[in-house]
Amino acid sequence: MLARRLGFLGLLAPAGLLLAALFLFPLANMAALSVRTRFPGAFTYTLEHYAKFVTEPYFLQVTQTTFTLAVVVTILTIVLGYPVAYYFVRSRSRLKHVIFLLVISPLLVSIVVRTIGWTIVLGNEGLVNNLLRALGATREPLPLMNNFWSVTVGMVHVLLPFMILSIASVLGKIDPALEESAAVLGANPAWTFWRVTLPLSVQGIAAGSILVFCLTIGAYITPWWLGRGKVLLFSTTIYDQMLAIIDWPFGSAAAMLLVAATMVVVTVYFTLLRHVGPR
Amino acid sequence: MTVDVRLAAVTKRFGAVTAVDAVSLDVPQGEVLALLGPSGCGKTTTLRIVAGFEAPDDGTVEIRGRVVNDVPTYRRNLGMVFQQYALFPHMSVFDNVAFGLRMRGVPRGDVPRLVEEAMALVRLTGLSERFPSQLSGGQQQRVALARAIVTKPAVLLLDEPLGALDKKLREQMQVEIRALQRQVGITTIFVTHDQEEALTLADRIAVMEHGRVIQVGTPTEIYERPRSRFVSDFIGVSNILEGKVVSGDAAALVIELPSGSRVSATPVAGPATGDRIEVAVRPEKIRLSDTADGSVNVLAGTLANVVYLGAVTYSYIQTADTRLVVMEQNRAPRPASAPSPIGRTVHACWDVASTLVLSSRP
Repeated sequence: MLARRLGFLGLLAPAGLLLAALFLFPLANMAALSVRTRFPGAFTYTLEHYAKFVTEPYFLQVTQTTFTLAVVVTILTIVLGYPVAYYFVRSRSRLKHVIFLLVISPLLVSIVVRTIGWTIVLGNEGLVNNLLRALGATREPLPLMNNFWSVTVGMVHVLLPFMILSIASVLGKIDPALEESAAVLGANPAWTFWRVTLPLSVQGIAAGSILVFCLTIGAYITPWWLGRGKVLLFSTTIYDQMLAIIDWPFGSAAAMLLVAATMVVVTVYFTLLRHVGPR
Repeated sequence: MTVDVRLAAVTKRFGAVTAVDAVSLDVPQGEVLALLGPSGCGKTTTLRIVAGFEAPDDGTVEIRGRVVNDVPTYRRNLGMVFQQYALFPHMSVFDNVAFGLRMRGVPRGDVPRLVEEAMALVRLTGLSERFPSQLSGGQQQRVALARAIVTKPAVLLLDEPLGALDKKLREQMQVEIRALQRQVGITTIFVTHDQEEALTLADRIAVMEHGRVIQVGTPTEIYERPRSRFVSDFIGVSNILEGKVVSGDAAALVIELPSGSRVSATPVAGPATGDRIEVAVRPEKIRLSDTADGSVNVLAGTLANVVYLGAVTYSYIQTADTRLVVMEQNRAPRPASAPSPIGRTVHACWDVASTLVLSSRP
């Protein structure tokens, strides 16, 4: 019994050690940093950084933007991704494999190329603006870059595959006979979706949402590039505090709050979801 | 008699494969029709066409006199039990059974009573709050049945409904489904590859092979008068004898086997003197005797093997032409040990009426 248990622990050991060394240790370190008055140098313990973060309107604004962005990106990836996942799972077409490649293509392209690509599309001299001007729809270029929505577009683009694959993996396990069964019982396609397919795929939406939500909150390069300092997010703020202002304790406190806030949101989300879906 | 389901020359192709080939069937009201055949014979596709899951390439499907080719499944007023039951895993037993009532807009107040009635019909009460995963296979089967009949559909479709159950339970459910169907009087089409299930449950059996219906008839007709070698082999076991017609007068059809032995059959239209034909003899129609017992049909041979199965004994007789299998009921008490009969000369005897003439073309 003990040997068996040790055997299982053995399986966890490599990943566990890696996590401990590269994740838990730095996190603990950061937690310790966040309650120091200063770093480096002589210090006493304090909670002033946390107090500063939660009282200054600037940081509250950053928090609000970050979570709004994460929610909007999550919702958009669900709405855009679900039909694709459904097609991907149910289609018997040979086109399916091409679609799959297209779906994961954002992950195959380097983040720099991807974001510059969006600059080319959305910039003042970009594809969209040139097209609009050529059509005479507008004389001045529309400000498509460096705002909340350009960041949203970039994030949705890169995170959509995570949502599609999460939903598809769950949809794929639903027996098509369940949908046929609903049809025989008199449910039209809309009701079948609402009463059968959707509830049974909630777990996939949940998994995808957690991935997309957390990855959006932690994203740094895409918001920075497509927002150019106009869209102030948690991650960019932490970066600025630590590497531009060189206030490590405050940056650490902000990072700890981000982790805490994310965990709260994720927990609440999971609790809500437990009441739907299959048992 | 009203016809509830009518298939007229229904054809379905998947690429180069013709899964269902010009199938025409009438199912009168209240009848249980079995679609019986080996896997890949098109029986499931035929059922799926009736359900509306597949659209026929040719032909028409009528339900209660209305052509439903362009009517979607959810407007066909059907009930169906799937092979793996397809119960909704996220709904309680009650909600599963109530689903069809709700979709059909049955007044909210009537739902509990109707669900209750259907559950009573399948003899399953007190499990309404359970979820499908908490039920045994037999209970899931009953819920699936209740769900299918609660809406009083025009037609009940069963897709290998008992395939997932073990043998004992399957036999019990066969009897119960039959009783339930009689009680409700619902027109039923079911698909099976199990000949016993077809014989037990069906009023009529349609035997399918390569997408075609090759014989339709009552269980007795199908078993006692198979028209082709395929049907006689697929339903029950048959001894097939091949030979040449030597005389086909009104009294008897006489067939000469390659060895020169002759067997007689009741005359049928078709075979003429000189034709090569096949006849079949069921194992249980043959009597074994030490001497020719005066029957018209007698083939002598050596006993090659004996298989004792408790209720019956199978004997394998090597004759000059073929190896015959004979089934005898162990009616008389048997001594616990007896000298091995293998190698003995025996005579296989049967009546003229038991020789089944098979059509030369399947």
